[in-house]
Amino acid sequence: MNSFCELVKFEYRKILKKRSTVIILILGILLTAFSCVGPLMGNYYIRGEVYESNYEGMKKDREYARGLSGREINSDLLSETIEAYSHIPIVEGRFTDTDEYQQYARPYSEIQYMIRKVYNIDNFREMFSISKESLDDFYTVRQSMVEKIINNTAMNSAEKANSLNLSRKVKTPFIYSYAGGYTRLFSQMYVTALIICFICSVCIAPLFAGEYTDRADSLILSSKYGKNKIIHAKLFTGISFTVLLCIVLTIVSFVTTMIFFGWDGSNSPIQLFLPLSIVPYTMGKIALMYSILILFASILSSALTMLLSAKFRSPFMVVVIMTVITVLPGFVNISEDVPWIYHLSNLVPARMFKLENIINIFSIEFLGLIIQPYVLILSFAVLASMALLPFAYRSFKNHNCI
Amino acid sequence: MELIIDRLTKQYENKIAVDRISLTLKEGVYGLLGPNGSGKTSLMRMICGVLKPTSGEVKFNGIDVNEEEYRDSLGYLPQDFGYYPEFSAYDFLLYMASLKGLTKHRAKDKASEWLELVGLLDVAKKKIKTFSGGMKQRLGIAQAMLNNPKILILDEPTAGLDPKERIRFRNLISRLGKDRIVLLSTHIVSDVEYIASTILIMKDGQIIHQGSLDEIISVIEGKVYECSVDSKMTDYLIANYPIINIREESDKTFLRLVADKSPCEGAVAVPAVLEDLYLYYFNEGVNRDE
Ligand SMILES: Nc1ncnc2c1ncn2[C@@H]1O[C@H](COP(=O)(O)OP(=O)(O)OP(=O)(O)O)[C@@H](O)[C@H]1O
Ligand SMILES: [Mg+2]
Repeated sequence: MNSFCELVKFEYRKILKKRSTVIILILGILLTAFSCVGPLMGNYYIRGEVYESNYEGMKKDREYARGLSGREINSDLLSETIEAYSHIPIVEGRFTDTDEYQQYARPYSEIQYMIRKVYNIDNFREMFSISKESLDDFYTVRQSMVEKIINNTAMNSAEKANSLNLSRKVKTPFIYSYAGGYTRLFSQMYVTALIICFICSVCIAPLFAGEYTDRADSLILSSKYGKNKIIHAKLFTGISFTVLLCIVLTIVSFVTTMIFFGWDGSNSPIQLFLPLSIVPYTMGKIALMYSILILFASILSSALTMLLSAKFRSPFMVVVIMTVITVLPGFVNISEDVPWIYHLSNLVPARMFKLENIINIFSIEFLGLIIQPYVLILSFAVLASMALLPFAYRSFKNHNCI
Repeated sequence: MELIIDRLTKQYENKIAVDRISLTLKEGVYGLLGPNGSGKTSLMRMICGVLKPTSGEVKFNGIDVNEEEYRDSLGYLPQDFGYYPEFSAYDFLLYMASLKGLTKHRAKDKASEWLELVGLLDVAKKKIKTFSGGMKQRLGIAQAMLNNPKILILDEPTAGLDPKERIRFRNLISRLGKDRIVLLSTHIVSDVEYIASTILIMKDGQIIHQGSLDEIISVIEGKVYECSVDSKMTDYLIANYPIINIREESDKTFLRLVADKSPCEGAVAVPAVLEDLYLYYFNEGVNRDE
């Protein structure tokens, strides 16, 4: 055990002694913090003139939202919203540029979004034709909308039943609350996860391949622990490095976002952000689940990096391949029409980073069990990582020095 | 103590680098002598378990080369290997020591001891990237010795050493050979001439000769001649005898060659040395001093 720790210590030293590692770590932290507040940079223009800075805009929206916080979402609030929006005149260009929007409607913009989702309308003007009864039945309408979407998917009947069942557990009525910090975090975490993956692939790629290019492989492999303990130490180093980096960058993202956008909203239902979501969880819980999934997806990505590192002769090749694997799937759109292809595609680390792939309306029947996507993704990440590591182990152990 | 190499073979795609070599090594210094590409490095890598043989086995006191216990008895200086340029010599040795399973305390002792023995103590804290080739080579020797190995495999250990270091190193090796198996490869004949108790001559993946210096040289003892002849005779001799050395002199040509009996008038028999034998076998590379 003692010698194991000693070996791990040396592996960390090899990683951290490189100046490039230190630079990339610092840049990674700065970039993460910076991208959290990215949307606050710049200004909002109305007719070519600066109307407000985005930071002021966020503060104003937050002020408005906090003004409504604590109110139940019911027909009163909905009617108020519709009334507020009815002030907006018909104009060319963006309706948000009108004084009426700024004056009356803006405080209600999130509620307006919710109404449009629940009543399935594109243009806010269609809100005006929603009947009073229909507004009274907001939660029934919402539920039937959710059920319609579930029934329109290609899920089998057992899966549909499970999704329906879950959706009925969502607690209503919703109490409105400002949750700008959390909603910002939900968009930010995808970027943070990509940064984590990239840094990990750069720092972990040399773990094995670096010994080949440093030509230290023959020294290591001919030493007492060269074909067992040191490989365990290296794998442990790779995984623990990923975990530590993940924790650090998640905390950086969380704290930066909350400091700038506000800490409120952790106990509000996710439906304030995703009105038709079927999961009965709060923003805080979803943020935690999301971070955990990103952690395990990053571990999977690092396990893959280590396997490639043990197989290939050059760390650079490993980084290139891992970057392609990480970035490319983000651009591919997979249709939901054939559920198993869709679910399978979501098991690529980069796609695991997307909230909409983790929390969606799908249930998945697998080996007789019916599970939620996040359970599938988490289990897969854990199992696949554990399955990859022995291959990396064997690859290095059986490496031929030339 | 016995290192048994049994029908060890390594075949690369289309090239047999080591061809069914069987050897039994006991305590002592073995000098593996062979020209470039004869398979010395391939053989040593297999003995050290870092190259998978095509067939055959290596065992030390009955322990297979792939076992941890075998590696525990092994010290290896590869021919061509790298260091972590950002590590200091001392840290590098500590790292190697922990790979070899030394306790932290012992690692420190051994690292200092060997840094002293190879004359690197005063630069112990300097980064390895500031070292010269010969200093790195000495560090390599130090790392091989950290675990006090029973089997010491040195692939061209004297490459890059200056004459003073070379001699110091030769003395070190002959001391080390007292209670362990030392196998060292070289193509510099004088490196092994004095210190190897057994000389192994390798050609095209096979050990074509083995024995003590005297035994080996006896093959050509009394058959080495030197003569100075004119150009016509030179052509004749070159065509008919294995030439060891040619030197152009003012009007004649000086030749050292191997022949069963005196090859020409005026030729004198001289005592054979290992280099004669080496050149006799590998005589494509005739020396031509100008
Ligand atoms: N990875 C490889 N792939 C193909 N052929 C190889 C490989 N490594 C070595 N060889 C070939 O095997 C033969 C033996 O090479 P080896 O390195 O063992 O020779 P050597 O005696 O150590 O030579 P040197 O004195 O130059 O170090 C050479 O012909 C070489 O070309
Ligand atoms: Mg060699």
